[in-house]
Amino acid sequence: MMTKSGDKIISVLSKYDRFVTSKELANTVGVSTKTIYRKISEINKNYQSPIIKSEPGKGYIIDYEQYLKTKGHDTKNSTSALQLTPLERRNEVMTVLLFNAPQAININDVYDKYFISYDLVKQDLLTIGKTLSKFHINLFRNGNQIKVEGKEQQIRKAINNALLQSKAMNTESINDFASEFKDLSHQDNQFLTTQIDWIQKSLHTTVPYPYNINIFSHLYVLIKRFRYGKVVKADEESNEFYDQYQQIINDNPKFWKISTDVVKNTADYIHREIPEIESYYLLEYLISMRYNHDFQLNDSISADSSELADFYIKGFKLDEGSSKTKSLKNDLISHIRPMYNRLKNHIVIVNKLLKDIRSEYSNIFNRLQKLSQQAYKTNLLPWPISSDEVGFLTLYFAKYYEEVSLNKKVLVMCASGVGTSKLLYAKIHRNFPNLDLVGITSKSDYEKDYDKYSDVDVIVSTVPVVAKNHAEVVLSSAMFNLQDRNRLSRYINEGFSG
Amino acid sequence: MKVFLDKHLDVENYDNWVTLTVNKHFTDYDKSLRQELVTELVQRDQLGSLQIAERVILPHIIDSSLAESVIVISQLNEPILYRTNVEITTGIYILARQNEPSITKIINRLIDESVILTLQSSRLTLDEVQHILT
Repeated sequence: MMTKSGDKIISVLSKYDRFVTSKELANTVGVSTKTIYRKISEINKNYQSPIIKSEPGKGYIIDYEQYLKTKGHDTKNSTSALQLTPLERRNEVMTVLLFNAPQAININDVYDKYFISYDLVKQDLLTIGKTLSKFHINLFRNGNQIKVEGKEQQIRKAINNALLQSKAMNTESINDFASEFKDLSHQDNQFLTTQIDWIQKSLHTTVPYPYNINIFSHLYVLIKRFRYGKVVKADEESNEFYDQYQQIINDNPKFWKISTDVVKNTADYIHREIPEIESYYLLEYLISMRYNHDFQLNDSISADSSELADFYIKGFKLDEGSSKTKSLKNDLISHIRPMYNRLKNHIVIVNKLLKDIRSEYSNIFNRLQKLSQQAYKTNLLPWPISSDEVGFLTLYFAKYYEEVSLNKKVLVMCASGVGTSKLLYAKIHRNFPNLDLVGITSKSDYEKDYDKYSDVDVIVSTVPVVAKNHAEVVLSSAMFNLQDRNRLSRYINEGFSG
Repeated sequence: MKVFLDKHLDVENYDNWVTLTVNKHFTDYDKSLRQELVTELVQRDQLGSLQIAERVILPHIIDSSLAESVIVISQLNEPILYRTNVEITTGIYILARQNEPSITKIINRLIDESVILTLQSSRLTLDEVQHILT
């Protein structure tokens, strides 16, 4: 199985389509240069002939065609317990421990199938312990017996996080996600899907991916915990908790009604009594999701969301008065509003596209990550946000830049204005049909009469030229190969140098 | 406009290829004018890559002193190394008069990748070239 950094190396090299030094690769992938040498050698071993070539002094380049031809034919494609990454393995173990909480289980029963050393098991348990402590859950070990203890709500959230992290990354839809659970019967699956449909119907909207799988997963865990009788009665909560609880219910009557309906349906389905607090836990999920149409809400979270959206927009130095920026702000608020609830309630969502987003829109992503850290330091954000969330925010900015770039006027140029520029013009048009291509010219005609092209924003040229006015120059070959296309795409999609 | 097809040429590099092509098809021109055309083609190459497809380059200039526009499809026996690492076997030479309308038509034909492939074929004939390009 290809490792995550191996995938990233391939993704970075494919993106650049040029020689990339091991130092550059190491910086982008976030590993040492030694790891880069080792990983590349591992990757090449998976193919009949090496797909990544190296040249002294230049670095590495990927034979992209060869890669595409043989993609998926690598010899070690199947997954088994032996091929899991340490994170996937720990998530599996953690899920087993959490599902059994507060009962203890034998360490050998959990770890036998992984064939790992005693020291590594010890190391694993230390890491698991640290992860669980974030949910205020304690890991206890007594000889070969291990168990976890914590509040039911926290156990449930920890299970949900582990499930989403290990299973949702490979899924595209709720059906894919459901198929990841080997112990989920057809009947349970149908029940859970009906509940999601019920929620959507009651709200007169749809819950888009990946938010729908969060709710699905929450309900799946709820059923499993209650059905096997592991849930212990919750300790008395503080008055402050109940005040807050009541406040959230009062603020969200519609969502509360749906929560209580769904929990009642679930209780009927599994023939168990489910306490009212479960409706509250579900409510926390429901108000933390993004919906396909926004609900008009004027509360403190909306004001905070608006302030944070403004902070991001200012951070990108966008024209706050333009209609496109206003539309971006609305998009951001729609995401940030439930994001605040997610952060507050420790609910994570996974971003399956994160790897691609980081690679495709690295400038936007990095800038948003920095801004988010600043926002956290200055208390604009009460909690730090994950890369997955930053990834989602990146997509809104990428969409903004894409729309803005459609209004950019692009001039194609070569030395004569009749040779390579004509071919390039046709190829750009074929690849970017929505781009506003205003014409073709020769370098000398352009230099003779700059004013004629004063409204041009971008010059794509096969020969070097110094632009006048505000235009930017993107050099390209007349081949308009992958590298050229990527360069132009990066420019028009991000539109700024980072 | 004149159209030529050169096949099975042996050249060492781009400059050598340009000189050979100009000397072969511009015999009516005096030596200094031929040299001028070679210099222009070499200078155009120095400005930026002429590669338009895998193994194909498009050496082209606009020159008002030309009596007539000339197109040469030139195929090599062995590839030359172009710009240090690209192997080229076919050159589509365009030496055009200013505002020559047929040049636009020819360039438009070259947008079609199947046309580029046909021009690289070893079985290509001059009749076919004329049929495709004019």
